[in-house]
Amino acid sequence: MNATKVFTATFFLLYTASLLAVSEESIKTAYLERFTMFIQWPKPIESYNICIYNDDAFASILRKSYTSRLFNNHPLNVIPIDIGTSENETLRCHILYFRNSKPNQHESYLNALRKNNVLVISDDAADTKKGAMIGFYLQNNLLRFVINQRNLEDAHLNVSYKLLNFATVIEPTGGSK
Amino acid sequence: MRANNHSITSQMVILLIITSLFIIIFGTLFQVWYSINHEKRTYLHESQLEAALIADLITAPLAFFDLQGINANMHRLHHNNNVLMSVVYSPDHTSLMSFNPGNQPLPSTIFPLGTRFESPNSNPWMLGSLKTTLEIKQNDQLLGYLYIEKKTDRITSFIMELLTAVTIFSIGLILFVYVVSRILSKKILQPILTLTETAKEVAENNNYSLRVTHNNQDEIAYLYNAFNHLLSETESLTSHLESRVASRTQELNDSLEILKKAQVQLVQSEKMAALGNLVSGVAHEVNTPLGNAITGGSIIVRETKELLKQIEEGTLKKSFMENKLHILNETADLLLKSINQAANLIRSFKRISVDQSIEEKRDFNLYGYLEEIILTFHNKLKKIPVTVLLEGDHDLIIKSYPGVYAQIISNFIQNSLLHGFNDTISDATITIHFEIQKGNLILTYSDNGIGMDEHMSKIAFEPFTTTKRNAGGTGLGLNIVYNLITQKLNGTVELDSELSNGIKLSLTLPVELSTSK
Repeated sequence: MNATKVFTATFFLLYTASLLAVSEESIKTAYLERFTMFIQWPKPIESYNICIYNDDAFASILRKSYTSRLFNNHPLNVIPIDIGTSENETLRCHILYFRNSKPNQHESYLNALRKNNVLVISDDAADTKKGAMIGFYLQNNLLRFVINQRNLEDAHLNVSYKLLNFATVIEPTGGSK
Repeated sequence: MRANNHSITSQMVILLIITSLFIIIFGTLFQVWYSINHEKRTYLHESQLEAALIADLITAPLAFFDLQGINANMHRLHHNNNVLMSVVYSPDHTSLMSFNPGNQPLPSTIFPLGTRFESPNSNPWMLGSLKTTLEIKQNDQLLGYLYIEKKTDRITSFIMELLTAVTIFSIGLILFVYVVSRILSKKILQPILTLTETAKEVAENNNYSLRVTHNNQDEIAYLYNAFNHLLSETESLTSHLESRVASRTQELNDSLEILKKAQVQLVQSEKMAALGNLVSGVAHEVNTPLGNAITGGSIIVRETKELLKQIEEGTLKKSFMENKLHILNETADLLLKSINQAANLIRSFKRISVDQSIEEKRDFNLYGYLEEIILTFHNKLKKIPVTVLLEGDHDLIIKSYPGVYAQIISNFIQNSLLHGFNDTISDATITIHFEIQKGNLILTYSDNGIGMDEHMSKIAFEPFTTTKRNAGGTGLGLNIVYNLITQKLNGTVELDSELSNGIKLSLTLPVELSTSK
């Protein structure tokens, strides 16, 4: 817990001093952890599976920075997903983060992900209109994100009102936890 | 009257005001205490809610390192004039963002958690500031702390307003109580005051014809009726009192006059009785020696005739002559003795009667004088019989009124004979003892007769006290003795007697001892 505090505080100071002082990867690394605080999966979680689509380098950065760390008091695994990996492989993910590639546009694929309560995050905020639930964007030199509330609800992922209040929300449903 | 009237009304008014004051003070204190606590609780609760809301709003910005977001949400506090300062801290207590319009120094510590009033001094009226410290958490993970410090002017001004209102209300209430109590006391006390006025009028002017009236049938009416009844009774009593007093006084005066006459008569008859006793005593005592003298005389006459006859006849013998002369000699002796005895008696009686009448101080031998007095009762004493023991200095000569002593001792002896000794007394004895102690003659007279009971002992010296009125007792004897002892001889007398244990009379008499002893 103390390690988390020191990490957060240090990061905070650096981040707030200047976005440039911290790499985008580092910020997103921290953001992924924070999402697990505000989003609840319907099934009990023993350990988080964080899947990185088509960016092994980022996956290895994540793995390194998440060593001996807990997400929301649970252990975690960073799983790199290559292009062409079967759908079944991706269904075990709790978070599926599309870095360089767009999320699969196939309706059936997205439906399968939704059924299995996978949180789909994309680097492109526009993807939230194409099946992703959270999409990053930059504003005034700050990394922000868009949330598609309907997509989250369809995947039976409960999102805290605190997060909704902070993020840019599209397709709001009026319901939040 | 006005002062009394004022005081009873004032007392009631003061009592009511004091009671009201107590109620107001305690009620007000409770109300103020309750209101202040309620206000404090409300303010505390509002501040807690406000802090919780702000904490909720800044949870996500804090989690995602968005200082602008934190600042924007903390800005909501800006419209609240009561906020002195609000600060967001990181989990390691580093200040991340603050709203500090007064540019006050940040607190050295933000703990303990929760909301509390903190005052730099211990004055209970100065609440200081309200400080709230909240943990900002998401899913049990500590993200930071929110610290808000607020002014308590709102409560202070509320207290001031409350105190002002309470003071105004209390003053109004006391005035109201004063007016009401004045009216009430006047209404309730008026009949009593009227009664008091009337009673005073009656007391001052003795005007018992006054009456009080009351229309209602209540306790006051009972009081008025009783008072009127008392007045009418007193009025009728007073009107007859003087004539009754006058008639009673006359009756008493008449009775007193009759009693005085009776007393004089009784004293006179007592004197006559004493005189009668004396005369009969004299007659009786003198009769015996005179009889003996007559007998002796007749013997001498008869024997002388016989002697003369034999001388004339010339038959006188020497032996006959010697025999007759012997008889004549003895008879003459008897005659002389008898006549001497009679002469002695007459002399004693004469002296006593002279002493009783002339009442002058003279020297006399007390023992001898007492013996002579006892001698006058010789026959009566012999008749019962009574032994008289006379003890004292045979040579004591005092200067006093012998007649008074005679009267006193005679009376004592007469009383003993008349009342003290009856058939049941076998060894009747009278003891008269006298001695000189500290210049006083202590004379004790006692008998072993039937005595007298306690009641009789107490009243023995009072006039007309007798148990033998039917037998001729006047009841004045001891009273006369008492007066003689106390007034004539300036002495005292004590009577000590118990039933069937005789009596003892102790006389203490100041005397002059004669120098020519």
